Amino acid sequence: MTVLRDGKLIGSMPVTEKTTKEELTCMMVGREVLFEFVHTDAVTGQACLEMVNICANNDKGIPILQNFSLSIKTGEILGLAGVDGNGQKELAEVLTGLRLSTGGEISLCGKAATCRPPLYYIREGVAHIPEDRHHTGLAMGFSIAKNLIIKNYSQPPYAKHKLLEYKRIESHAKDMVDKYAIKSNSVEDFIKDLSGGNQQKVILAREISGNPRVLIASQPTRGLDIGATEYVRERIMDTRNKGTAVLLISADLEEILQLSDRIAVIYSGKLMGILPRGADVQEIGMMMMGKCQEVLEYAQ
Amino acid sequence: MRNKLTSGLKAVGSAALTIFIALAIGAVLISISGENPVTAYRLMINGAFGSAHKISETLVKAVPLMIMALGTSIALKNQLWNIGGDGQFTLGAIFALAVGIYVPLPAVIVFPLSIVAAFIGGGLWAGIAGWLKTRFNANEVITTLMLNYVATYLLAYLVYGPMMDPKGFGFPQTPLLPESVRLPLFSAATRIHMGIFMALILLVLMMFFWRSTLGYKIELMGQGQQVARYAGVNAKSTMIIAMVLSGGLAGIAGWNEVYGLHHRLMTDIASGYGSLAIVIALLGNLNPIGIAVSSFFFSVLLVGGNTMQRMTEIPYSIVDVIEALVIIFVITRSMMKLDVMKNFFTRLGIGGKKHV
Amino acid sequence: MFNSLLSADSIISVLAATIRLATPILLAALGGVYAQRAGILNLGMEGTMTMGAALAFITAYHSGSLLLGVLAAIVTGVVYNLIMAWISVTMKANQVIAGTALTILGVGLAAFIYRNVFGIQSLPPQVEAFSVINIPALSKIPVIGPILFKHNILIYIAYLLVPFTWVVLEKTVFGLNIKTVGEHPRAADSKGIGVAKTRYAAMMIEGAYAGMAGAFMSLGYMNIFLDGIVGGRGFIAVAVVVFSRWHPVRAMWGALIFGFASALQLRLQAVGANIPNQFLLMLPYLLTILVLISVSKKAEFPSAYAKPYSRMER
Repeated sequence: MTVLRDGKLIGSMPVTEKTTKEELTCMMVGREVLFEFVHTDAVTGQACLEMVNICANNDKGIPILQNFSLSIKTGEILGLAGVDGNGQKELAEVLTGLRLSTGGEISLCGKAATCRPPLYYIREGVAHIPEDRHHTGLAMGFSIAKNLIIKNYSQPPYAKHKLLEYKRIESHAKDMVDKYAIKSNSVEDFIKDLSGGNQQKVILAREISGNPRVLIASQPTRGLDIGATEYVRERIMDTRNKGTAVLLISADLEEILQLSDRIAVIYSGKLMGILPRGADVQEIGMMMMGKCQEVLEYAQ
Repeated sequence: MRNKLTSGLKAVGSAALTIFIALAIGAVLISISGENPVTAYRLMINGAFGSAHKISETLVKAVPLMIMALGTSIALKNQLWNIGGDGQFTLGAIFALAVGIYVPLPAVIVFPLSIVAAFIGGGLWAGIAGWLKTRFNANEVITTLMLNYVATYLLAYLVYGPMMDPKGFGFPQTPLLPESVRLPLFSAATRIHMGIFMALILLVLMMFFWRSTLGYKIELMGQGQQVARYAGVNAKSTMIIAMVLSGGLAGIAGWNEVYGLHHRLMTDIASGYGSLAIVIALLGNLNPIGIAVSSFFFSVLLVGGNTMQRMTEIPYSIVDVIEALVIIFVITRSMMKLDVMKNFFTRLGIGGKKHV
Repeated sequence: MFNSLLSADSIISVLAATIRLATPILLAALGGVYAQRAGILNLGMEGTMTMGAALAFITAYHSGSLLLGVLAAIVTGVVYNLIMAWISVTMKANQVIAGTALTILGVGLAAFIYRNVFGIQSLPPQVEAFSVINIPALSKIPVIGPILFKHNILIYIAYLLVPFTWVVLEKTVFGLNIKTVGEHPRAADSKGIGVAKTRYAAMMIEGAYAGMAGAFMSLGYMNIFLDGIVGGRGFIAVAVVVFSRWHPVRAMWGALIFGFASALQLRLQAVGANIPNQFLLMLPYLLTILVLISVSKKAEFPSAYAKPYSRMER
């Protein structure tokens, strides 16, 4: 058996009866930290995003999320760990109205918010960094300025009497480019001409500059270089410090460990358990491979 | 701002180059048929601009083309391939004429009513295709194409049947519109009519339209349904609105032809304007000003081509060939960028290091 | 009037005309099945057919051989469709626009070439069209004989191509490749099926069929070439392909429906019936829309329909 991670060969070993899941987990997850990162204690408030028994189907119509329940408080980052394709994408979509759930309930700060159209979640302050930035997060043929307003183009100050206010849009874009260090020649540059890191910064600027109540961040640093990764993580941390409830969905366990205040693990569309910050990485790894928390605790 | 200016200049430059190459190939074909291309093109330009009357004919042709192309551009921006311009034009013409001959009210009422009716007629026809797409996921290319034929036969039924002119000696045409509701001519010597103002008003409206939130929404849809939905756009209603607006403008083009030019309906009134409108919209980069310019260019080509055919042995079909070449170059130009060419030559084993 | 319509002779002649009128649509539609199955929606078939009709006529006129004419049309169709293949496969440009362009180009170029060869003549030049071949014995069968077995060779070939096309698409590796390329180009690519190569091949086959359909118009149905001789049959063929849900046998039924509508309409005109036949002519198009609706719901469309394939993009 050979393990690949981030395109690098991590190691090979023969599969024998002695091969343990723990060994394998270690190789799959890795433990080296990219850079130093300050993690302050969370100042949490009331439950802000609650989901109870969420069920949903995938694109092929096959049930993938099964009775998934989770609650996130203001001012905390809840990291959702799991191997890709275990329902994380569908969960993020259900929480932002891009996919209809087939069961269960969502509430935002105590207000029922199940199965509403995407615009409802946007207006209610649910920000979303989608995992597919090329097709979902950004309009590749639009300029930076135009991409920064795709969620509130129809509202003042960007529109007046149903007409776009180009000056306001441009000055807003200039602000954002400065504030989020987006490298570009001008705010009229096409998004498709930016690097992946700068593209992600545009999304980040749009999603978190309005101090959202909830942030759903799906694979926020996937495919980014180290500099951009660090930047994005710091910004997510800032957002949490300002009181946003953050759901961090990532297949990168290192990222989860670094940022999360609590760590939930999803496997095959089911919640395997929730662990506190600083939990044993091997335990998380076991859960990522389908061992339920209770089972693990019982074994101990 | 400077960025916008350069990109605008680039668009104009590439459109001009496209036309130039198409005309050059046309010239080669003209020489093959044993004529002098310079003479031919001179005749063509003379045919379009040679006299006040000729210029007016060119404008008469440009007006419906421009209105239709403006409409087509809305659907195209939304990535909806509305090729049903002919059908929507026809329905607009039918609705408009019906108002003109069947509503016995003063011209002040009939006139605006006919414009609304034309918009509804064209919008309805395109809206059907839009609804079928959102409701059943039916490919709009096929539905708009089919609806073109349905419209043609509907028109044929009407002009051979219930709407046939009783005093028309059995010709397949409707009665003429009352004089009071026709679009006034500028002078009795030419056919150019007040419809040109309609075109100019719509041109200005379209420039505002792309600045409006609805225009932005349609443009965002064109960037992909996923990102549009993510941004909170209702994809289905936006698609239907885009189709209705697109068809509605085609309907108004139909209104323009009936109220300004023919004053009645006959078979094949749309005569292939639909595909021309697509070409014009694309050549104009889906930009209102660009569309105005390119519809004028095509009008020159059509009107001048007619003169050229009368004065020389060169068949009119050369105009079709040039038209088609323009489209082919427009849709392949973005791919014809330097790096693609370089890649191609490198693979052939020539050049690669040098600039190609 | 109705008596004359409903007489046995009249019915037989309408049905025989149905077979005849369905032929060009059928040929083009069978070609279209290959292309659309491979994921290419070619609205330029009208152009291909017109080019085929012109080149078939010119070749037959000058060589005196109808067979050479048909061959010329096939070659023309193949070459002409290469342009569409290049634009849509290599250049990855939009197929709808490309098809529109190729229709305009084909119709224009065909008229241009014809005019350059023959100049302006008061009477259009003619050829001796394909003659009717009475199939021995079978053509003697009452009713069925005159309907099915008194046609020219191109018509027989067209209907024989139905099972042939079915076999190619359903029973050969090549057919499977075409379907895979239209259904899931990425999977095809990863299995080593050349997506571009297969799509080019499908387009060339479509060109051959459409060229032959054009030859039928100028050498089989008529014996002259006219501007606009194809008269929208290329577009009808596209409709038939959708109507057939990409199946050769159903394409035959679709072509026959369109053929029957026009045969009946011609007959009604001939006897001077005062029935609004426009609705009859409209019907096949409405049927196509209905079929399209049912097809789209069931998502029977080839998944990569009208989509260019690029390895880079995901």
